Amino acid sequence: MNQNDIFITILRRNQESLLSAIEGLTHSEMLLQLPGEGNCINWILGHIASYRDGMLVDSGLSQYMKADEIEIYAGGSEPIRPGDACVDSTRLSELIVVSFKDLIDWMQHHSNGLSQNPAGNIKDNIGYSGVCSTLTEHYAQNIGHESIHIGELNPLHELVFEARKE
Amino acid sequence: MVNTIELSRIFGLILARNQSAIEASYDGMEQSDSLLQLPGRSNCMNWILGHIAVYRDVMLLSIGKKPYLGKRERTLYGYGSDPIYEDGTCVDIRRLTEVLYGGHAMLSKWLSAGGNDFNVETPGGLYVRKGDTIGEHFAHLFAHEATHAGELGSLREVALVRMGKGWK
Repeated sequence: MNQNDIFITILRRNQESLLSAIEGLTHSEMLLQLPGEGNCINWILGHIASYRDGMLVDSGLSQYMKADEIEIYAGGSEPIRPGDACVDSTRLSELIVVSFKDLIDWMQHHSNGLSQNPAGNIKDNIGYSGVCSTLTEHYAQNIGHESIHIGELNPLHELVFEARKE
Repeated sequence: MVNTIELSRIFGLILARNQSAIEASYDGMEQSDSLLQLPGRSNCMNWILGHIAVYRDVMLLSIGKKPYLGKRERTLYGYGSDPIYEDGTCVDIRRLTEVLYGGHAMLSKWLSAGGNDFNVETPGGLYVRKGDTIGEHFAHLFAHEATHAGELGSLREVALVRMGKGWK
């Protein structure tokens, strides 16, 4: 059991929970809001996808999101309400699938890859790019970060099913 | 040994993130706030805090430490246990947060002490056993508590809305 195994185990759990939470949901359902200042599913998906791009860049791979897309979902960005500019949830769901595949493939084929320095430029500043001095630290922070956001999806998933009853 | 130090750091970072999210969620909350419900089949804050505490105890037992919760408390908050409603039996939020704080401190101390072998076999007889090695077992348990910690944010929001306050 090394760090790659740990990260692969957690990332797989995250991906399984995430896909289960969004299965069968439409774009408009992914914009539903709970009371208060929480985020909708669309924002959470875009946020996770952008932070995964940060891991891809720091691992020497290519990112998927465009700069204007990342801006919408960056840390501290505004919540997305119906009518606000956002990326279609279908595209975000696809990004979640391809970024997961790339990260798992990379970890499985680069057994010492996490020992290298982050490849990204501090100016990239996607997710934790530029603020972590080692790739291992970046992966730990980011994968722990997305686990918490994935937990936020569960009550939003329940909200969709309640809305369908109305 | 380098690998052991790296794994301790990884788990230590994730545990710190989880505890920070948990503490931020219950800050300023009272027992009655912890029993508020969201639409659908979600659990209240009280249940989630107790559930995380049960699984923290499993981690403590896995490294030979004493658990905080008794059998009755574990039954209330264990996997598959019934949701807790306003008039239901439950543990006071103050005790739950003390248990979580204590478990976090013990696990942090163990992780930062160094010399831990994450390839040793996970002990038998635990309430849950999520992997054959302590490393795999902990990876599942830390991810499990992180997703439950994530569920707490929207429950805090509900409480703040009832209080007439915004987030943070």
